[in-house]
Amino acid sequence: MTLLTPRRTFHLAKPLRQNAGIWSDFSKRSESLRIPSERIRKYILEGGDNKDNITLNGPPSLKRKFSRLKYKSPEFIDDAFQTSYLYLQEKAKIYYEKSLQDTELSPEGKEKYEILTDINNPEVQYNFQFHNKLENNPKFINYELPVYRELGKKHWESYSQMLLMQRLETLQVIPDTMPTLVPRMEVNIKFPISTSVNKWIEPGESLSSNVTSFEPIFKLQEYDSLDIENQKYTILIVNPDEPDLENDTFKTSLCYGLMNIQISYNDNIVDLRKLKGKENILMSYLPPVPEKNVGKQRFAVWVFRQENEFTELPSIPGRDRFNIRDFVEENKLDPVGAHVWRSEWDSNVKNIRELYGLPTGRVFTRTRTI
Amino acid sequence: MNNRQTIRSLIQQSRSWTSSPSSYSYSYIHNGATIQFIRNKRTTSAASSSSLKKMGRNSAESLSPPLQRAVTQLSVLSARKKMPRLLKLSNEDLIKHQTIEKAWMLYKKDKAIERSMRLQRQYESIQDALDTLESINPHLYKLATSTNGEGNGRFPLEFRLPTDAPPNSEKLWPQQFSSTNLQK
Repeated sequence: MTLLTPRRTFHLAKPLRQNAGIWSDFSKRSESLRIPSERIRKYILEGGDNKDNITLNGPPSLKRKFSRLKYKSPEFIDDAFQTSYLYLQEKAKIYYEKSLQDTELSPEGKEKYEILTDINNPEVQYNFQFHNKLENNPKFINYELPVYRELGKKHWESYSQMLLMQRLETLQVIPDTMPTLVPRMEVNIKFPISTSVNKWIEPGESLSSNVTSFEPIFKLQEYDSLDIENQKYTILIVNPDEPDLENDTFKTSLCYGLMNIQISYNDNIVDLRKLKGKENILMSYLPPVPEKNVGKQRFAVWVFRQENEFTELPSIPGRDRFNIRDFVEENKLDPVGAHVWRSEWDSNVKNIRELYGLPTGRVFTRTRTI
Repeated sequence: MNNRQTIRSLIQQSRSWTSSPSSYSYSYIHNGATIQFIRNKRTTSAASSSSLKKMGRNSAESLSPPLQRAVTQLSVLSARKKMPRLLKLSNEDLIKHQTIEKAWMLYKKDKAIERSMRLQRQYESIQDALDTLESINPHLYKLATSTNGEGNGRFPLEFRLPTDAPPNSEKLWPQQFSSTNLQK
């Protein structure tokens, strides 16, 4: 009697499946629709009884040998999977042939059939579900392909998009900066040069002045199918909470402005160091330096699709009293994405002011002195 | 069978149970001794049961009834214990599971569409036949489509199957019946 149940090492009754179906044919289809690890691919498509996995003694995704030995698959899962796979593949074949044959199809129609071909493909599902969707590796998740964009969009809508809209609404970014937003693009920001926080910022997070001392990088993920080669984007960061003592209210100031930004579906990080020169910069970055006792200030990031490329950037009088709505209307910008973070006075603000050559800030008290 | 082999067989046994952890309690006879499990907790130990057997006592009586009751109660106290353990699937098996679910869903959907289309065709066919009948013979059409059985020689739709004892509101059940009455 042995501790392990003996596995079959010979007499393999199950033949290796022939590469007959459309999901196994990569002559015309992208390599990103395939699981790159041959071992995992075989484990899923041919079951645990194949040659590789008998020596491995369990699912290859489990790293520890002990876990692999302990793991037990549900009974007959491979048989049921084979039947299901062939059934789904037969259905997908109809869509695949339609997407190839119909020459009169519109691009949207073709894309729809491409999505339907691969949405149930277990290899695509594996690649999407178990790899990083935000910092995607095109080997696994290639957003150039409509099916991955569809999956990515569903994933974004399931949580991040709702979170963003909730934060924009509760923090009154809508309608204090722009009237509303129909989100069509996932926007993420990160402050990579900072010393402490090297992570993607959640919408509405309060950040210290040290973190925000240098400009953020933006990740603009498009899920819609459009002519991305010729599409240009504008990014604005505005602060609607600048105190306006003359009128006893608040005014909006522009903290950062970038225009004519070019992205692609996979390579979509907007980093100032990657931009060629100064021609994209509408307004250079001014870090949040809230004055003492003004409370938390909101910094709203807005991303717009441009109607066409600006040969010359529009001139604006200055940061102060920036009217974002007029600017958007004049330049025919289409708001597609947003983000927000908050900043408050802290002991480091003095250093940031020195670094950028700004005057020392005011200190607000309960009794009005100015 | 020595002690190590006993443990091995237990491990193997428990491994086969992990795939179906839904049963509330189960017992397992080993060397004539019963090892009882309640909510995946062993309530009698193999060692104690075998030593008890040497002493000539039945292993089923290894725990006294009050103690056994206490063990059972403790095992059901926690709410977590009442839920069967979550089936843990590896990534590969999770994808296989989702594929199977998806295929089954689409298959059922196809069947439902097929059925509704068949019913639709049947309905249209009936409609066609009745339209033809109406144009040929309005009287027969009227008889064929009338729902009450008057005058057309058909049973009314409200008609029930004839039974030996039709329901009688006065005497649904012989309440007063007794065998002594019958003997008289």
